[in-house]
Amino acid sequence: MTLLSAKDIKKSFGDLEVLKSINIEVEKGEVVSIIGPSGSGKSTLLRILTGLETADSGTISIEGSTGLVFQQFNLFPHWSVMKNLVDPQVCVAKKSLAEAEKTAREILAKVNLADKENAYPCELSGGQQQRVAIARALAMNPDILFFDEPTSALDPEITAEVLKVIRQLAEQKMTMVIITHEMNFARGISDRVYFMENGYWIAQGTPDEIFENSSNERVSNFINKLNQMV
Amino acid sequence: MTFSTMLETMSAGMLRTCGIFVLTLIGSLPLGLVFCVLRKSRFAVIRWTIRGIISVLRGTPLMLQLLVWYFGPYFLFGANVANWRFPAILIGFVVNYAAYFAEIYRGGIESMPVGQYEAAKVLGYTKVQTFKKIILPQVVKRIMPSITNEVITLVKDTSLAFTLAYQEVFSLAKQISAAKSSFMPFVIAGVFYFVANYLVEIVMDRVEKSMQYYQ
Ligand SMILES: Nc1ncnc2c1ncn2[C@@H]1O[C@H](COP(=O)(O)OP(=O)(O)OP(=O)(O)O)[C@@H](O)[C@H]1O
Ligand SMILES: [Mg+2]
Repeated sequence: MTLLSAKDIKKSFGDLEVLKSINIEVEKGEVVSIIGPSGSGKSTLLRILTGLETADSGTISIEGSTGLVFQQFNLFPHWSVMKNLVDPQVCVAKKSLAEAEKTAREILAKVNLADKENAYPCELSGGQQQRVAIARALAMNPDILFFDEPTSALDPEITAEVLKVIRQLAEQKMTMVIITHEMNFARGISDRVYFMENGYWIAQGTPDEIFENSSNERVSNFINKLNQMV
Repeated sequence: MTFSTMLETMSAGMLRTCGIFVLTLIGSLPLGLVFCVLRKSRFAVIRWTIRGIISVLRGTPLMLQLLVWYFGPYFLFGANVANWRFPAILIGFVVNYAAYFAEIYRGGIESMPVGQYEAAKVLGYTKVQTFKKIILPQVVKRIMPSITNEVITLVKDTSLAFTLAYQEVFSLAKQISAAKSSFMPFVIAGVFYFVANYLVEIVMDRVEKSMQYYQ
């Protein structure tokens, strides 16, 4: 079943054409990664798909609800971890407080933060904050979860704990679209990979097609460069 | 005039000073928020009008504004201003302080990271919910030090009501001092203002501490 289908998406900021004709489809249970150089338009696409930005033209159809995990977490600092998870469920999804708390506790256990429900975001490490942010998004029971570079603001040692949570979600067949610069992670987790450059997909395919033997020189150069940095 | 009768006479003035102080805060803190919201209105006419008003209120002496509020109705419409003294003082203070508070609120709101709005939007909060539940509580914490400054200034500014011959503590001190050729009324008034502001500092310190559970 196709959960997301976007066709011929275009977006400019002033004279700058950021997205030039983007098509993307995501099936239920699929994990899709988006990679590509800085400034190519990846975040802009995700912001359009999650409603933070509107496209200039094109069509988007999404079955169900979406969630978004930001690079900078964007937790609500004046609320405890528990309240961060509970308030949207009560205030937006109109669940009862008891039900919302039950859901919150189950999800916090999943992301290994059961003992932090009363902590405030400023008392947590970056990795813990990002796991709370993932939990907050999950608590709203989204049909598709989007990630915009979820580990780019984290120290390398902490990155692993966040990637582990995302891998668990993939095992549970959560539908996800992930922008990442973690090539090994993208390769391991994805069903399909899209490569963006200058507002176009210049390659797309299975991880093997993209990472192993890409016929596209720009793609293989980009991947080699990232591999050398590690 | 003994010290204790002097103190007794002046304590009525202290009460009036406290009255101006409390009523001004009750009026201007919310009115400032109204100014601040209107200043961000979709309609350019409203935005520019409010900007102009705030600009005038901050750019002219409060003493002059008090005189305008008091004598304005008489000069403009020939109105009888006999019972207009206290209302004029209150309007003058409330509107003037609202202008300052509006700018403090604006600074606080503009200092909020855009990520807070985006996270709220993606989770499905409405604009009003986002402002009330997520933005405003954080803004209040950020602007508390500036609010404290204004409140301390207000305690001292209440003495400007003497311009309209309102019998608050400063007016009384001047009168009694002149009548009895004594310096003591000024000392009493000085101690009163100082103690009042000391209390303000203690209260505001408590309020700030109560919000320090997060950064
Ligand atoms: N609100 C905006 N106004 C103007 N220009 C913008 C805006 N948002 C993004 N851009 C521009 O659009 C281009 C694409 O930005 P985008 O954030 O989508 O890139 P990206 O692929 O996510 O890059 P990175 O890997 O660095 O996050 C950039 O040149 C950026 O400066
Ligand atoms: Mg980006």
